[in-house]
Amino acid sequence: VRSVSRLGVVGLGVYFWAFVTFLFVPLVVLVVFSVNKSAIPALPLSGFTTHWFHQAFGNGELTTALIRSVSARTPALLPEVIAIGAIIIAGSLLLVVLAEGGRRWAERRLVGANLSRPGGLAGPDSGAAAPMFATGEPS
Amino acid sequence: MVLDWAFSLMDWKDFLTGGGGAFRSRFAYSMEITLLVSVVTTAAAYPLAYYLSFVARRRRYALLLILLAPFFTSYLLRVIAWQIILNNNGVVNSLLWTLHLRPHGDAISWLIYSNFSIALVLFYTWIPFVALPIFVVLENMDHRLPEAAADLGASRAATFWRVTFPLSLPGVIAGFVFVLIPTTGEFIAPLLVGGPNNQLFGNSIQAFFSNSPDWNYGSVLAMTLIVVVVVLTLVFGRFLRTDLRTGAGAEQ
Repeated sequence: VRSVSRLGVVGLGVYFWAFVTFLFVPLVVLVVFSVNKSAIPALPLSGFTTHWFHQAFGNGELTTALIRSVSARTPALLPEVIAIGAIIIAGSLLLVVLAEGGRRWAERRLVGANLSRPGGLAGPDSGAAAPMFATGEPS
Repeated sequence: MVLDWAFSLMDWKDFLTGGGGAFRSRFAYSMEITLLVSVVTTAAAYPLAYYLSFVARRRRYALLLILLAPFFTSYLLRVIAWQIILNNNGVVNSLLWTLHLRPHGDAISWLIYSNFSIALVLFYTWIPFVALPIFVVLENMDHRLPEAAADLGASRAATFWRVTFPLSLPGVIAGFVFVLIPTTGEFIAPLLVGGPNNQLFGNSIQAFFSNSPDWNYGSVLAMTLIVVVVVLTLVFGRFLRTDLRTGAGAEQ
């Protein structure tokens, strides 16, 4: 941590955690008002209740929709579900294979271009997001 | 120019030079807001990325996850949460009333349906997308270079402004573009937290395709936006054609 002064470390830390707080504020607000008695989301809080959860989960259509979102557990649709699942898995595998092949191909090409440069070779451990920016020919 | 009425440039004419002044000014307004949000977001994201990469060395991926966690929830849900917070009877105003910092019922007028609310929500939405590329660049930077600068007697400020920052410019520009381009077409945030005077260009396009259908005019506006985005991509794409690991191309 030599490149940052002690004051910098503290300042950046305060900034970072203040920012995290800011990012979580909307989520905390949602959680707090989901257990608040009043139907109007405003302060002061009017007391704890699970009423809204009861209401939400007491709603048959909503719960069915929720279950459907999580698992398509309808026996009549089982073949379709299996087929879609198989397609997704096969597609992902294909993508992985293609991506791996593409990476190897790019590496082979870059080896020739980069051998003369110090530190120029991208190893497999050089960060997954890095190739995103290295769009052009290596400069 | 011979105008064939099957092939008409009427809507283009109207938008570019004619009676479409309202859309032209809305376009200008959108670009102002977009530029403001992009600059502020990039400036605010840089210290976050810097903290992760240079201070939180070992815990940086855990902290990155914390930073990104709110964005695993629905975008719409987060905008609606901001609506609840900024509303005239919302969390901020009712908090001020409860603490007797403001007379009851006296809401802060600029808190919602204003430039402030749109800019805040867009800022909130984009910050991780900006922090991430900057973080990636700082991570992949050769950390021996700032050390070398320090060893050669450069002050911390000089090391940062003359070594670290120039080397991280590709990430900064990538983050800037990540905000700039989606914000030009943004219409959800202004729809939910913007007032009638704060609707962006994206809202005009959306309106022409739904509320008051005029697909011709809507297409003209959409095409304009596409041209702007393509130009911006070409302009900023130049800066992205650089090698992250050495930062070559970012140097003067």
